[in-house]
Amino acid sequence: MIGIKRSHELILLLFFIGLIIIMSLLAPSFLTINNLLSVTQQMSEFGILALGVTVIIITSGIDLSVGSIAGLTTIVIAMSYGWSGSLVAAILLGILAGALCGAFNGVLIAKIGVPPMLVTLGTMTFFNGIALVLSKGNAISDFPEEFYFAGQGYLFGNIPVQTVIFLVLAILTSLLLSKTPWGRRVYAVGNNSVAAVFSGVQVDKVLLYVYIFAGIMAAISGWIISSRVSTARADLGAVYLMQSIAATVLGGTNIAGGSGTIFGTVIGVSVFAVLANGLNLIGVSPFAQNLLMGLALIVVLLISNMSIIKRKITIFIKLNFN
Amino acid sequence: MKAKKTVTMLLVFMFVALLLTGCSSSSNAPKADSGGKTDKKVVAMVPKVMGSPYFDTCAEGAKKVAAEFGFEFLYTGPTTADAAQQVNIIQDLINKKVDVLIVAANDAQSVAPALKKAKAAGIKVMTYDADSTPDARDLFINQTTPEILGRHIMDNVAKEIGGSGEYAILTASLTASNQNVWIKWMKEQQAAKYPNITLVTIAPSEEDQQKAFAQTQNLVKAYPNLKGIAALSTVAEPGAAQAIEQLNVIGKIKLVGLATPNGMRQYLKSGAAQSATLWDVGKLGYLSMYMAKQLIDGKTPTDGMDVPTVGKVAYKADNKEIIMGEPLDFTKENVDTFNF
Repeated sequence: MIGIKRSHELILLLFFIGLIIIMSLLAPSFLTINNLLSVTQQMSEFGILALGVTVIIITSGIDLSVGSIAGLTTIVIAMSYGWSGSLVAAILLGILAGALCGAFNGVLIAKIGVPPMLVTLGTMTFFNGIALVLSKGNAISDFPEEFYFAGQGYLFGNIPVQTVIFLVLAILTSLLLSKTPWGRRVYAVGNNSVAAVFSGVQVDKVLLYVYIFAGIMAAISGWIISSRVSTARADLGAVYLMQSIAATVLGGTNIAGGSGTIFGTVIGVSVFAVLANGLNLIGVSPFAQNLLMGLALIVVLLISNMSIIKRKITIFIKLNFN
Repeated sequence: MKAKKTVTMLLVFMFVALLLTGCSSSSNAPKADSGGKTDKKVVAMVPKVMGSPYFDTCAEGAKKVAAEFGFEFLYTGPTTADAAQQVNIIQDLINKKVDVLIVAANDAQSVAPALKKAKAAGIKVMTYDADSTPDARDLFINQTTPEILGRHIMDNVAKEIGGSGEYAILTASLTASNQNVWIKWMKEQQAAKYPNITLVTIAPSEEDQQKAFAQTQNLVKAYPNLKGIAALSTVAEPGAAQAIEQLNVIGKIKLVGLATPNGMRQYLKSGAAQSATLWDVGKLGYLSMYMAKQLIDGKTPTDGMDVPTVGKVAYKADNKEIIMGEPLDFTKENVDTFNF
């Protein structure tokens, strides 16, 4: 099991390095410090979403509401800044709102037992609806100058703030998954939830925290998006939903649960970010970009499942032609 | 052994991908990335969304004149009208070191930081169709002003109903700010030039074609002397036209308004609507590119300057804004020459 996973990450890493080489050959301005830093800036938002999504998919769940949670967070931050005047309180309230949304998903999934796909399909629209009602569908943009730090600021000269936030969160999530009892329970639930129950794991509790965790990640992502574009809007974050799920799967997390790593997800996120940026620099039309991104996803998944596919083909040949 | 095969497979895919990207952009790729050697000026146009007939028509106009000036023309934007995605694309274009950036902002505030960054990097920054904040760009190419548009629509009403009689306005919603400004200017124009015309009511259609249809039916029944309707949104006018067809009052009630030629084509031809007004989108693109050339040459636009194929344009120095001017009427005769 472990061996197979490792080889997927290796393939992906090779693919990623190859991609960087191609991009730097085709676009001279690709391999410049400034451009690479802005790639990391662009990937941070959906990267942070993907961290939460990864943990959920490891438990064999799915969360379609993370984009809506991010959008709702931007509105909560903007409105609570409006009446409190305190930026710190507003951001904390926003993150609390994200955690509550996650808890709402978690209760429905873990305690009541509704399938995650159905719950989050519903809450995707529900959370977005709350955001639309609160904001009356308008964009809110009266933030103070300091709010722009997370999305537009730089540390140590030219390192984007959100890149640092993304890295810190990625390392934390990775440690949570690999070094804590909670992390081991997350994998156990995803591998076989019945076996997990009999091993003394409180599956519902684990699941509840997993969805709260994803809610918090979505909220942080929303906070950064709205800081980068200086606006709060209900639909911010919506475009990142499918991208973050795709990057997670590309990164080797098994959609059926039980395995996956944050390292893989980070590489998956980087592949998408480099593809989008590089193709923009080369001047490929955005429609063709989607085509190439989809193709990359399919090819990498095909290659890493090669052994299974080969076995199936051999069996097929044996059964039909021998 | 297995690892070797995998690597080979990967290399093959890379090669194919290389070919693919090479082909799809072979016409502009080598020159497009100006990190290198060419001195051809690169002008990038970023619409609110790709694949919209409105913006694509605009880009056509821009492309033509870019070729005339010997500019490299790039046209790229978000695939959904999303501000965050648009900002990413602007960032990439800054790193690509284009010479001029022309943007239709999805959100005035959202793109402002990215545009300021572009300005700081020495790029000439313009907005067209939808402005950002004035301090984020060097020039805004505005299609028209509410005053010009409002007065023009009122003139159209008067022209169709013949200088006297009752007319009604079908607006978007009663609180829609754009529409309310247009209505204000329509009333001024009416008071100044058409004393014998009376406005009987302003009915809301809530940006809903079905609602516009129902409201028009009500208007026709409630005001038997009604001679004309001005429908002030791109869905209100088609909705009103449907109602006029269905009630069979074609010609008895004249319909003018603001809508796209594609939305109104069939109703203009059937006579249910007399005209639809917007602006010449292709010329907006042409004008944007012409002004890009002015900026590159270090020239400041002047008020009343004469632009080839566009005509005289107004320049407001305090807001660094170009106004293209008179709107364009689509009628039965000319509607087939436009496609957006």
